[in-house]
Amino acid sequence: MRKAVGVLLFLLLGTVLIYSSSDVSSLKVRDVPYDGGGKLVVSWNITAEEEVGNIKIFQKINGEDWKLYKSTNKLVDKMKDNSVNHKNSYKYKIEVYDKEGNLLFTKESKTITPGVAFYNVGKTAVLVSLLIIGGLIYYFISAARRGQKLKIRRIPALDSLDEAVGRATEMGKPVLFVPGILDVKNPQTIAGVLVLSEVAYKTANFGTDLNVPVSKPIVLSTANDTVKEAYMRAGRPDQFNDDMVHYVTNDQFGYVSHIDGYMVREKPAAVFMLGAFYAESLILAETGHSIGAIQVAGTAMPSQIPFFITTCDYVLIGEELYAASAYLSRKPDILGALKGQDYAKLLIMIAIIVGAIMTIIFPEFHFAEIFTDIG
Amino acid sequence: MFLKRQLPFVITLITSLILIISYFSPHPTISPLRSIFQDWYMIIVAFTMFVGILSLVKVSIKKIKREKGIEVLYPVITLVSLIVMAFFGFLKGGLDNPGFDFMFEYIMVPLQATMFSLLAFYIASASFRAFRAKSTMATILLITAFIVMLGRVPIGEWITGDLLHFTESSFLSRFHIPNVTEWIMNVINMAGQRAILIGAALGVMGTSIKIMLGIERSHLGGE
Amino acid sequence: MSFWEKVNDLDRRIIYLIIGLTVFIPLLFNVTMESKPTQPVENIYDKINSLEEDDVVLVSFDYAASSLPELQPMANAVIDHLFRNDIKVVGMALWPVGVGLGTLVMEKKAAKYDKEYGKDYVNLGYKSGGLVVIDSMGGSVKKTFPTDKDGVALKDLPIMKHVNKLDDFSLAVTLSAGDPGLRHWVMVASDKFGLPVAGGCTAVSAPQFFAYYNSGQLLGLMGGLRGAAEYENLIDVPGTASAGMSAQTVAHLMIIIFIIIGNISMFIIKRKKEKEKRK
Repeated sequence: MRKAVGVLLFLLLGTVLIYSSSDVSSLKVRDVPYDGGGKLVVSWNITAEEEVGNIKIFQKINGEDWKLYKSTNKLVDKMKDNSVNHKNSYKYKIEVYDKEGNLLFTKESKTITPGVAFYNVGKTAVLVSLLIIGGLIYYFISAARRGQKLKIRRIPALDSLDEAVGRATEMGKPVLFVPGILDVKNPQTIAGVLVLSEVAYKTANFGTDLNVPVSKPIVLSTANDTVKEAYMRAGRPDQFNDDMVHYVTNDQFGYVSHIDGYMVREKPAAVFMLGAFYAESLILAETGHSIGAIQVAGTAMPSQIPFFITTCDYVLIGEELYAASAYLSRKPDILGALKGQDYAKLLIMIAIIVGAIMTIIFPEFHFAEIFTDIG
Repeated sequence: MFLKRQLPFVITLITSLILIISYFSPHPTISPLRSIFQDWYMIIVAFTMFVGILSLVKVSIKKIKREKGIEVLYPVITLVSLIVMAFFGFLKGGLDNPGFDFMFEYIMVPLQATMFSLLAFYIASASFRAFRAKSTMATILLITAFIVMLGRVPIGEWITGDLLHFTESSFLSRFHIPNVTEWIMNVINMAGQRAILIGAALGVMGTSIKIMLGIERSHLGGE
Repeated sequence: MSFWEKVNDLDRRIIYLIIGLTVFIPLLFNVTMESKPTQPVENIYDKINSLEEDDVVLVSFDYAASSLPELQPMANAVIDHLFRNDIKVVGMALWPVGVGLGTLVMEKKAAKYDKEYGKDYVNLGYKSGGLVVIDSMGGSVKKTFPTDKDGVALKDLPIMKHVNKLDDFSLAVTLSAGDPGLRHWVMVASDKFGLPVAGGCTAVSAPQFFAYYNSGQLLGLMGGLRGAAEYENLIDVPGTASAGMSAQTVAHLMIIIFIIIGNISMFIIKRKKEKEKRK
């Protein structure tokens, strides 16, 4: 009888132990919120009496058979399942094995269908910023259209266009325009092409040769149309020819070699470098300097600005490049957009100052995270 | 006129609106549109290559006809290189073709490296000319450049580390050249970089809105 | 023209000659210099050390032959470290030439650590589009790159079994010479998809990336030859960067000497002119 009670107690205790060991363990699956329904997070926490050798994770899609997803030996971990689709339902199971490969216990998760969101809440800070800045720009464009007078400060680099083209005309030498090495999808290239329009207008009026080598075929058609239109606007379509804008190569240094070679051979009197530049900035500008050309450069690439400043006569720094079209055209709506940008910058400055003060006074508030948590 | 002005504007407006919405909405009905546009962009970019090559060939042929003496050589070399490289690229093995590989490794690589290395020479001549203590601001710039240049090479570590033992004192270690360099880069340089970046980012936004709304159309070849 | 006037207007070719010699001589004698690691470089090293065998790291070779001397040593050091720690590597390139340069590094290091293609590492090849490619990988890696560089379907490669989207990688390391490159990886992979991004760039462009590093958008940064030399020092595998540091040190010193000479000549000429004026 004693023996029987002993065995019973042992079995009971054993069952409780095994049960408790598996009960403490957990397998959870949760849907990632605000996504397109393509991601689940599976997490597990295993506590077992025996030493665990291997853990197998299985996945079941729409109630079909279990399929092995992956094996691991980590007792506490989580994994992202990016293979899921919002049209299916998913269930996960873990099988925990000991060192000898004996199954200790299994655990199943609940069935889950990934949710689909229309709006990612994590991007609210970006949306609010976009609406405020966009709103400001739109408001000032409308104000300018209503006839509000807008002023723009002097930008010497843009005032120098006449001087540069004029000098080339006096010397009987060509004008070289380099629109950078990036595609038209980069706004710097577009800003460069907008200035090209004005430069081409001046060369057309002065009857000076213009050479525009480009490094991206897509810039070729854009720049070509711009120059053609400028020559027509100046009433000199006869002076325009298709070779003014020509493609050289996509290769960064191949393009630079071509321009350097051209500069050394033809010695253009005015060199414009407006757009996006990388390491080639100094190679181009130093060569331009060595031939004594008047050089006007402009880029929003922070690391290239110092090179241009040391070697060029006039430089458009960062946003000045984007302001060029407003400055040159003086069209009210473009000036309005510029004023909107300035107010947006003022708001950013206020946010930086308030943020710095708040962070110093209330460090636990984590003020900066409002802006950095952009999902 | 419709094809040159209105149609590009309508396409720009629709695609940019869809791309903006897709940034904020992860919904599966919207994101495929984004990838369709992305695929189209990649295909169009690949095809514009032909336009570029056509322009290159046209300009080179004109130059051959026009130029005299040694000047003729340049467009000839350009065309020959283009044809030979393309020929080997189309042969069996493509980019792994031994002929193509040889030209790439022994012509392209040294030529590119040579052009890039010109930068070192040009930096030297530009700094010789530009870093002059002409004014107070120029002097500050000069001293900063000195410190950063020393701090970026092991000799800076040696001067205030091994020679002057600045690193052994908590107070003096602040003046250890690599530490000063790091401070200049992380505080002063970064403040300037960020200001330029913020200004430029706003410029990008302004330009994008202007293009989206059709206010800026010069890049389409019109006012 | 006086001596100092000649010095002041020193022919640029003399400067080029002296710089050429100062770079050439230390390289000729193969003098190596150890560079003490800085925090941005150490961060990459620590992150890779914290990864586990299951983790897959994406390495993007976004450079061409021109910046090879600066970026290839970084690629060598990082791939060496990843393979040594038994971490799986997926290589790709946003620059066409990057495919070949990446293959060169991966095959060399795979042979050193006995790694198997398809299981321990893979090279997805080149895709044009830059930023768009990264964005598209955020949606599906296998749709963006249906095959590896040799045309093998990704679904047939064991290493890609659990890699569906960009954030399935544990880390992205981009070795970038310009555009497309590090900036786009930060903008899309890090900011949009939350993937930790570390990078290596040329020394010229390093200052602009400190802004991203300090804001936490960039996990770590190797700037130019010095960054590569620091990483070589950390993993204790001296390479071409450590050897190149001696040349760079001498070149920096030479430039400093040029600047000093330029300033002395400027002051002497200025004083002389002032004296002449007074007379």
